[in-house]
Amino acid sequence: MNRAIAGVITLGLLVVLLAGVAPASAAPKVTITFWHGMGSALGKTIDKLVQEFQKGNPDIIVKAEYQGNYGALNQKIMAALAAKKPPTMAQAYGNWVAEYVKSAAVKPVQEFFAGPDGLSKEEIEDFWPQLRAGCTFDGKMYTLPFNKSVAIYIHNLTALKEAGLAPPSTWEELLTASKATTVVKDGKITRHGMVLRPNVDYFANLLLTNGGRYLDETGRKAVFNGPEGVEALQFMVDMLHKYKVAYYIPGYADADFGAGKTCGYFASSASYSYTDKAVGDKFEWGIGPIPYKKGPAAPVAGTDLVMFGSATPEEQEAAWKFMKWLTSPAQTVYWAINTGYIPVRKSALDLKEMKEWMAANPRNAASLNALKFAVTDPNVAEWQDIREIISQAVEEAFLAKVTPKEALDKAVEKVNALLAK
Amino acid sequence: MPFQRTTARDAARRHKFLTETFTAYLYLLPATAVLVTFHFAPVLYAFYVSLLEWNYISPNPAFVGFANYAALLQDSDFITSLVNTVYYVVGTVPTSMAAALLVAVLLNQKIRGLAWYRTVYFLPVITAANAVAIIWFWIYHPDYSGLLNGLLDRLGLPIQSWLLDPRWAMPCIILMSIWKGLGYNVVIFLAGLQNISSEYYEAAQIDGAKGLSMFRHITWPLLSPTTFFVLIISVIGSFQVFSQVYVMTRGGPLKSTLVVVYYLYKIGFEDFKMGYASAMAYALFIIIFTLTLLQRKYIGSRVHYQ
Repeated sequence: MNRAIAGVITLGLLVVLLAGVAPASAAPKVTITFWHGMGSALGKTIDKLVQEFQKGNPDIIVKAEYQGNYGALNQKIMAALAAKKPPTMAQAYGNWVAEYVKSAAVKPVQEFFAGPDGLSKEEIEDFWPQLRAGCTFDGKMYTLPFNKSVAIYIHNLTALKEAGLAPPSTWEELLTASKATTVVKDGKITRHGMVLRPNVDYFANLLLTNGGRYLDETGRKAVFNGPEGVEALQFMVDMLHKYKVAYYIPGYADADFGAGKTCGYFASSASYSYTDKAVGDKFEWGIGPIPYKKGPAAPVAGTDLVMFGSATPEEQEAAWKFMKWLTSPAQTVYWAINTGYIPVRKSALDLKEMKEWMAANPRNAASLNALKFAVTDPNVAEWQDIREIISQAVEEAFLAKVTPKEALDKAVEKVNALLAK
Repeated sequence: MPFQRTTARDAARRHKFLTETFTAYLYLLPATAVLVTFHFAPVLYAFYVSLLEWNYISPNPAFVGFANYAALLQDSDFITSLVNTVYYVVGTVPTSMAAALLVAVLLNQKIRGLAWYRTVYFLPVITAANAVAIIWFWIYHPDYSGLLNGLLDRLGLPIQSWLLDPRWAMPCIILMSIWKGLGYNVVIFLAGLQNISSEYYEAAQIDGAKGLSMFRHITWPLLSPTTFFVLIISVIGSFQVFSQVYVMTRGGPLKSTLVVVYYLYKIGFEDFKMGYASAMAYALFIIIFTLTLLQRKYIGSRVHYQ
């Protein structure tokens, strides 16, 4: 009997206890979804950041979901938008965002700046201006810069030392180094000084370091067929066919570099982990800025954070909190150190962790020093088509079908027709 | 009384008929629902979309009538993709069919390890295109380390850059596709061969017929329904070539392997011009449909049915 009474009392207490606790823990939890395209090591870093955020924000559940490569990510976002079930937020390239903005699917981050949990003018200006420009459409900031990388020149230090050369910093030196590191055995080239890719990014590296640009100040007229562009393309074609110190492949070059087939290539600073894996401890390698002719420039690639308009106000508030946190100086440093992407905030470079890490990793510091010269792609919705047109011109010149001048003239004509539509 | 009995029986019969019909439709329902939802409705919807200028997410697509179809005729990339597709079809279908028939005839003999051979020939068919691509990338590697180039070099011939060379890229894709698709046609030919009654061969043997003439006068005519079937599905399948191009060349170099379905995919799912892509899909449908009708008319009449 006593036992039964004790049991009832215990149960009763439990109910009271639970009832007392329940309202507190049932404080409405908000779930937000974050779609990204960061595989392997990069994805793990995202997961770690999410865990860290949740520790400080137990009332927000962040579901970070890997959607495959960038192409797949954009396809899934488009399909989800068409089905009116987009994620709360996602990674997106500027030209994708241009398309989403045209269809009124985006919640501009600018609308949160003035809010209670907003960003001050100083904080906004702490984002690199070039990156902010990439997030701005019609004068309004729609997205926040997130995983941004700069173009870098990766080289085989062992081979350069054997040739008695320092890492090249100009086109001239790059050509000299490539000649010196190309190895010919029995009339066959067994190692090239450089590998190229027939695409717009390789062309961009040389165009921009030669003082050229894609479009004029109106943004509606192509000018990359000027002498700067022609020289840039000619330089690559000469490396391939005149000096025979380079070859080209359509895919990523890290495997060839690791296998010792080439002593140098251009890549993005985020490819650090891939190169590291490909090389292992076979030889010593280094990272430098893209060699220049007129002046240094570092083309920027990578995506921004976009929030979609269909989420509830609570979800949007939560997503904003997460976006703001992800791009805060402390987190952008963590992100940069672990991935090879660049810190998106200027003040991040002054943080102790960043300075210590740069001192300990001089190789990676090179890409950060290139940040001052960062150049972003034009922010036009036609950008993907323009990239393809330029890539085609580069390939035609590589195959020696036409001269660099002819290839670029034709491409400019096509781009201008596209922009005039 | 007989009158009443008849109506009762009629009612029972009608009742039975109705229940049976109802049951039949019930059985048909799942398949019909799947077909309507995933085939017929999208096909009709695609036609509607082909009349729009639409990026897939815009809430107000513009109705443009047949402008997308008119634009196709002006699109040099579409014309290129058509020419490349025809090149691919002509390159794969006859060779693949001849090779499959030869292999099927050989595998129809009583040889040792028959099951093993049949499995080996079918393996490429069920292997994922991506896995196949990795192997063929090694074969077609552009420098001396490539298998094919290694062979050429040993024979003292100049090496080629294969998939990077606009002249070689399509032949490379064709060769790989023939290898990959062979087993499928072999299986169909084998089934056709085994359908031919052995009595014909026995009778011919008694009349003194030999191997090749037996093939010409018995196997070939009696196999013609199968051959015709393989021809039709091969032509349809080859016109829709996609995955080999997607994983190997992405239409390059210089659009030399840009085929219709890959171009359609690029327009629809990378550039998100849904109206234009749908119009292209319909254009391809019309081309394949017309070709199939022509084949039925001109080749179908020569098929010998048992």
